[in-house]
Amino acid sequence: MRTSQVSSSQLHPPPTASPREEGESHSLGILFFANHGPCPPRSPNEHSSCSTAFGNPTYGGMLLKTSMSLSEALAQLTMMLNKRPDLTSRLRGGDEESRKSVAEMSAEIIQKIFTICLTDRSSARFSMPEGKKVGVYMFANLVLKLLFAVRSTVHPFTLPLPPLSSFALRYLVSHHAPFLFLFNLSHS
Amino acid sequence: MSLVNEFLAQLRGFVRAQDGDNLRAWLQVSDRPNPQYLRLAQELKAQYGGARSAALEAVVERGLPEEDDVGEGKGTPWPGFITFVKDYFIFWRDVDFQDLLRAHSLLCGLLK
Repeated sequence: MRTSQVSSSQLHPPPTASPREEGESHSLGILFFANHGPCPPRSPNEHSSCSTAFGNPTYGGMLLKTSMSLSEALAQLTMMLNKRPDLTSRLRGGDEESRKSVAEMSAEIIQKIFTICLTDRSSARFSMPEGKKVGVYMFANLVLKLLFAVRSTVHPFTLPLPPLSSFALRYLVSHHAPFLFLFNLSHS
Repeated sequence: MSLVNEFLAQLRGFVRAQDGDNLRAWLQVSDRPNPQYLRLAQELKAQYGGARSAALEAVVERGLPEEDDVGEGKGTPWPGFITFVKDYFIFWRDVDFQDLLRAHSLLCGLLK
């Protein structure tokens, strides 16, 4: 692993995470939650963090892999919690609209980052995705994986994505985006 | 040099090099973390707990200064990144992975 020019007497480079590979694009509709209920409670002075940093048009792209890593961690934690109704039942209360599952909260957050990728303008519409747009299918697949794992119900709305070539579909299958492939197959 | 300052020095180097791979490798979140993250968490609890949260913000801002003269192909810490790193430290200071709900809430706050 490369190290910075600053030497560290106490810190050692952590294990290298497996690098994510780039995706390709084709027109595809995606189902996402439209149920924008209350998010985890935040104080009036709180602000969005990773997604705000990631959204910076000049430098945010260097946080693509970090955002993906943190989103994967959130998805894993969510699926762990989904197996613990004794814990998540504490979140249920109040009126119907204020009840929001842990999976819905997590999916909403990951969807926000997905949207940042989708609206990135660093690559032309029909060209090979560059910059943040590379993350579009990875984040979409992660959200679908999360929703399938917790068997959540969805309020569907479609979101147009850049086109996927047939090659890209095979790529999705072999490069860790099977949920997106299966979704595309069932809705094509 | 404290672990926090060393960590910030590393991050600063990665940002200047626009090294997304190393940023991902270092900005880890895991319920089975590398021992150095546990030591980092202990230092954060000891030195920046409770009323000393403002001091943490000052340390992060000192360790990740925004640069005006950025060379070609280089990067500089930006305000959103500085805030994110502060929140990342707060995450490690406050997280208890035995409390899954609390961990989920903290991670949501870090990510959204």
